[in-house]
Amino acid sequence: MLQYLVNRVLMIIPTLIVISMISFVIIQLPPGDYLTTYMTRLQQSGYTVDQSEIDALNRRYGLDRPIHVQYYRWITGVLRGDFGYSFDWQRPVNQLIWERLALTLAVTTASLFFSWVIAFPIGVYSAVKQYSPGDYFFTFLGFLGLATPNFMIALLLMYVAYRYLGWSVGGLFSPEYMAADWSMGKVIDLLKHLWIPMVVVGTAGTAGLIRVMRNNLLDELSKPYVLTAKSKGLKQVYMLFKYPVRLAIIPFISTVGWQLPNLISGATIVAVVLSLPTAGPLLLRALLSQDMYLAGSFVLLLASLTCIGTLISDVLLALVDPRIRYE
Amino acid sequence: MFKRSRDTGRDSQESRIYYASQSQLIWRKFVKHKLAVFSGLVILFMYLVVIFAEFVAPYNPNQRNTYYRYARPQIIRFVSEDGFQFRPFVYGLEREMDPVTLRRSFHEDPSQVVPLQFFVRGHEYKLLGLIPTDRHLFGVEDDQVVYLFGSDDLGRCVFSRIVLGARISMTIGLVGVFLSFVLGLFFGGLSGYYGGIVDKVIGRIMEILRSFPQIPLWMALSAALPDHWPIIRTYFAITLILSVIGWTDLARVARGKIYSLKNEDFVVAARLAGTSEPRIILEHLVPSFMSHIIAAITLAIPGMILAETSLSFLGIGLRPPAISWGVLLQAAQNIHTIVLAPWLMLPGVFVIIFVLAFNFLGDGLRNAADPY
Amino acid sequence: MTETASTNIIDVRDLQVSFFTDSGVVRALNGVDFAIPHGKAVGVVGESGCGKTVTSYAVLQLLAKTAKITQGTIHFEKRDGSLVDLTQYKPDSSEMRRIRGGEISMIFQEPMSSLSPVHTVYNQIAENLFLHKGMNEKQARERTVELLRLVGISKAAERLDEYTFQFSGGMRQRVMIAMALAPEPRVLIADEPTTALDVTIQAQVLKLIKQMQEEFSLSLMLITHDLGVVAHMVDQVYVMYRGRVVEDAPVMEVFYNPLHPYTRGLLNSIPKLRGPRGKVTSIPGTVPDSYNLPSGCLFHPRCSEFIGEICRRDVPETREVGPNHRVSCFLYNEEPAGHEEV
Repeated sequence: MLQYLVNRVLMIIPTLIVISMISFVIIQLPPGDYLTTYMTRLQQSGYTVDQSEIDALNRRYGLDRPIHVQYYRWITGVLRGDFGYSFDWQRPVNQLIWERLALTLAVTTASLFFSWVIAFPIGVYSAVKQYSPGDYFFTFLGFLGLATPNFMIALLLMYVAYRYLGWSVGGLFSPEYMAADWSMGKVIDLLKHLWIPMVVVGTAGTAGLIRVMRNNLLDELSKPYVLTAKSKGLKQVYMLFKYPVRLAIIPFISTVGWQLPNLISGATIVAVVLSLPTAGPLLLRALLSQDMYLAGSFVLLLASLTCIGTLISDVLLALVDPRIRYE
Repeated sequence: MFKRSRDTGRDSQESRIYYASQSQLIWRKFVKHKLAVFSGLVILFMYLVVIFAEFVAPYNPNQRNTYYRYARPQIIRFVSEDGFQFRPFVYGLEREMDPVTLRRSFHEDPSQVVPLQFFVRGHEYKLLGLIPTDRHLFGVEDDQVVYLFGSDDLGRCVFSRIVLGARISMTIGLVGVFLSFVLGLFFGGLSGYYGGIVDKVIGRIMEILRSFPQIPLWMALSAALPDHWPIIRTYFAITLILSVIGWTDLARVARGKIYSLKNEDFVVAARLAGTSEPRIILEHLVPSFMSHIIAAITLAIPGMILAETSLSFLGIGLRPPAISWGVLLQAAQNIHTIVLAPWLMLPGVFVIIFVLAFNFLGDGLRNAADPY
Repeated sequence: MTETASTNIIDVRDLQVSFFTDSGVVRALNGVDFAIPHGKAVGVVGESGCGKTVTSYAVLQLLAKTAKITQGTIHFEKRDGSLVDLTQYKPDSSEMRRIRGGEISMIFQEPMSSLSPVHTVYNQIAENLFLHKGMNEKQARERTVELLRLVGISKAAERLDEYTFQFSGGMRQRVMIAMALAPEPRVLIADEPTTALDVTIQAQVLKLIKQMQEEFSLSLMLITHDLGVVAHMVDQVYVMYRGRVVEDAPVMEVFYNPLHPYTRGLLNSIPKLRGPRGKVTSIPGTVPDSYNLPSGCLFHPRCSEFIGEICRRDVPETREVGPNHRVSCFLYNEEPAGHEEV
């Protein structure tokens, strides 16, 4: 078990390095270097450029040095918690990102649980009642969920809520809590708003999960140990959940690995539509204004988040599957 | 003797079944999957419309009509106040102004019967890009308008824009998938055929790419595309970006298949006969799992379409004046517009239909890919 | 012809089972008769696809959803002495579940896939003890250790909490046997219990099953495709072909006086170690598939003693030809069965 965990953690390191490289490439993508962009921007808006500030930035990021030195400077900065400077906001990046990332995490985790809670029973039902009208219905619904872009679901929900209920959905907080410091009231307010993005982001993933659960369980149901369990005289439902469902859960849990990137992707777009104060809209704005340290940091951290999620799913997997534990 | 002769009779009957070629078997199994066949026909129909897009669209998609802004969709009718009539028609639109909000809106006026005319003259275009003509599938008299799907903020015909936008939306997936296919086959082939360290390294890269949240990455890459690029170049750049991640799925299928096939007798025989390695892969291995690849490709297209739509919707994919379903949906970004003109969400409905059809088709193909 | 109900713990008469599939109805069992006397062992022999396993599943009502018992009775004498017809119970009824495991236990073919890989050995065995013996956790643990010792697993107390994938194939089958014995059943059905095992392990496992049968005076139904296996294990042998019993006889009769050509074919296909070195032959052809059943005697296209039109036209009746020895073949008809036609 310990060996397995150590292995998993070690395997993440090269992944994180590659992720950091990709993020760095993204920072470098826009034509011209960061400082030139910065200066033209400032000049355009009528500010005078403070030469000493430029020199300071130059030294800090080694912008006049070769690319690998720049990468080194940047990544060592990141490791110390210095993510660079957002010229759009005139603030260090790390003052901007953490709350947004935390809220992204909240939305994503909520969606993950939502999609599990929905997909699990439906998947079991669809497998046990294979080819029943219910199974066909859910299968079709699943396909529909897969085919509908997240933002369409968000748009439709907004439209229906506004048109027929008179609600204006969007955001994660009521106006009075928007700028307030964190308090119990703000958390409760957040939970009240969280369900809409949760449902919207979760829906697409749910469709895939239902199929995974259904197919896994169908596989398991045809295995000999199910017959053994039946031959013991166990009650049908008890037998179903103790044996085949228990085993079908294993690949279901391992889907977290690909679910998380999808959910984060979905949350990014949905956040723009629903104007959530999460990473998505800020990332979009940063990209549009070529505020590259901010954008790069988001990409880096969102990708790292999925890595950690994958690690968690590996741990869960080891917990539910003794074959992995005793490998 | 009787016994024997009957046996041989049965034998030849059986061999007729067993000797059906693989593609025949796949086809037979596919045709049984009714939903997949139907989806295939829907897709075929949609591509036909795309090919003749200018003919199908009654208006030039960029033609503005400032009088008819946010005009509501008109319904094709056969029954008027005067009873049934053979020629389909729409009711004319009448503009009214809300005295309080001063907002203009349109309603259908049953007193104005506007008959639809077929093969009418309209704006000029080149059919298939070659034949200059001004004929359109349908239209109305010049002093009237027909907006089957309503009009947008500039009074452009949403129906015409959806039909023409389909051209980009429905091809970008194909081009992207083609690129992914080439990349996937190359890397998956290398990985599965050589195994060992090559397999490990490629596998690792694929794993990393797959664990990357695609949308943020796509967003970052496409945001870096310069604004001033022409549509066509942006289009290809986007397909390239989409296939950066898209190839991993196809590579996985290719790798798995090659891995299991490479020690089959016919491959070993080819190797012993001195066939070169790339030739073994391309001539012996690829054909034997082509059906799986086709299924995987079909299932990969929807992802690409959704991605393009999402990126364009956010304003960092294709940009106006390009027309794609995603670009059209950009108009539906804020709640006030949607409430005012819900028909602007219609391009999304087409995205859903198209993607749904591809998923069903791909599902049917995947089931049929293993005919035995 | 049939023993009275009280001497048999299980008595199956004219059992018919059909599978209702998309491509048609498949008759898997076509009027099977057999009986297991109290405390005795019977063997069911035949090639794969003959309906041996279907027969055993039918007894326990474990048939797949698509399969149905269309005719026949399965009489079972319960612990309390009452006689019940198992076909009258619904597969999921509590009566049926009490008999399953509680009175009739089953050992399956593949010890690896027939045990859950994610539950400990204790968990899987104790479940039977909770369910059928009403034991508490402590009693169940003690009893499980006893059972594991009984089936010859060393360090039973330590291995209790291990998973089945940590056991070797033979050991797994021993766990399976311990599991089947846990609720102290009166009938044990073993479906090809040694097919998936190494030859050396096979003998050990068979010996264990025999030993357990004698020790607990179980009634045993041993299903196998290998006539060699039944020789030392059972008292009565049923030879099945294509959903019917074609011959049944005391075990020695089967070996020294096989009557049905199919039984003879099966015997000739066993390699012999002692005695005159005969040729090992196989029966030509394969078991016909269910969509293409031959007319008349189902074995006639493969029969080496085919006697003519009658075999192709009529289904032979089962006749008693000796004490406890029955066969259904026209070779043993005193009179031609031709006029019994409808």
